[in-house]
Amino acid sequence: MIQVDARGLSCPEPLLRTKEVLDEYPNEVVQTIVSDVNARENVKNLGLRRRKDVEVKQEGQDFYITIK
Amino acid sequence: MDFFYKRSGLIVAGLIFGVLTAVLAFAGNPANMAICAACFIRDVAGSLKLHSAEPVQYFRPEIVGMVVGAFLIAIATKEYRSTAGSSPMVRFALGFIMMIGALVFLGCPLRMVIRMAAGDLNAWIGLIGFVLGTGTGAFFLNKGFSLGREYDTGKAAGAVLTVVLTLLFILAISGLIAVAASEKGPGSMHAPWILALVVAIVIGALAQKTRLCFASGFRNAWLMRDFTMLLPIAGIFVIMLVYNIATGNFHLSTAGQPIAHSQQLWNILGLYAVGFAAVLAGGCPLRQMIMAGQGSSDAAVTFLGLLVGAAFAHNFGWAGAAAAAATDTTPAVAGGPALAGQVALVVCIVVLFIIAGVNIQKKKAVVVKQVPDTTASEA
Repeated sequence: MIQVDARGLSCPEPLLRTKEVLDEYPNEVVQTIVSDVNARENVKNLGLRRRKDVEVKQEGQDFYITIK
Repeated sequence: MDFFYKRSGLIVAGLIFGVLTAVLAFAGNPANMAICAACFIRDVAGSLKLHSAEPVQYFRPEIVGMVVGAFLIAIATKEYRSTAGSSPMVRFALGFIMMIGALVFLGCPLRMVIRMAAGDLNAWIGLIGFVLGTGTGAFFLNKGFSLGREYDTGKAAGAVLTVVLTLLFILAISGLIAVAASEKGPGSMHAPWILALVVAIVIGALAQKTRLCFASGFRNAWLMRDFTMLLPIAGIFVIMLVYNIATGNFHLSTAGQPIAHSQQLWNILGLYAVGFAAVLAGGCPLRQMIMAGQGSSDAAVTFLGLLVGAAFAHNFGWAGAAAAAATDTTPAVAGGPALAGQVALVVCIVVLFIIAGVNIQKKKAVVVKQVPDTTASEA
């Protein structure tokens, strides 16, 4: 699994960096960690638009979005 | 609350925002300026005597209300998070530049939409600049532009701007500090303060929930052909269009528009700077106030940049002048920025390219690493 730590980055960087990793590793499970709801929604929607399974888990105030 | 993340929720939010905007217009705010982040921060700067342009001095309750609304809803929904540390001085500069661009055009992107809904063709022409500006910002984001991470800070730090604005407002309204207030001009036109405050608190909460941002709507369209975040903007436009037609305020023209000018090159360049800077800063002036309310000190610093930018724009004559028809006693005014304002804006745009260029991260700011897949066993 590839993990992208995008905590604390301004929008839309978490989304763009996740997109780059998804493009580079199309067959891998990708997990992005973000620190706000806005980024969570953007990354989640990216996964859904690519017709992948998306799982969101909250730990403290951070969100782990797994796209597979 | 998840409703507001959906397309239908975004449209509904836009329509509610539009109705609240119409309420402020009806209740006495200046023509085609029912609510405007840049103009109202400029008025606040004037009321605090940071500049001495007499027609634009008033402690706008809307500015306080929007920040407080975002703060309250963020606390209530546990989204308040005190953060700081992502290139604060660059963000200050971006806020400053956004204000210069907005005051050359005469409005932030929100007022651009309100002016468009009143038939002001100058705003439609300015939109070209805004779209190109957000496109330029999107280009640099794709190249790896980043201002770096923000980090968690002590809980109280994120509330400083909210508390300061609230205290200043209480002091101003109670007369304990003698803020300036315009006797004529846009600053003298305002809705009753309690109404303005309450409406703005609702707008702030709504904008926080929907992540409403005039820059991100166009930015996402450039980056991903994703037009979702344009939906609430369309909602505001439609309601204000109906309101303006119903009240006889709709006039399709470039000439004779209130608090506007027809120097089209400067309308385009002004909003180009706003769009470009807003994408680099991660949000338009309105969005910066919302992020500041929910705990971002970086956004609060951007707000200070906007405030100081407004002071400079009026102290040094950089703001665009509104066009005016000739009267018996005064000649016609073409409006637009004077030479000093034109030079300032061009310098601002050059600075934006420098900021964008030097902050391209060769090694991307994210940490990408291979970790064992734990999700399979949990599923």
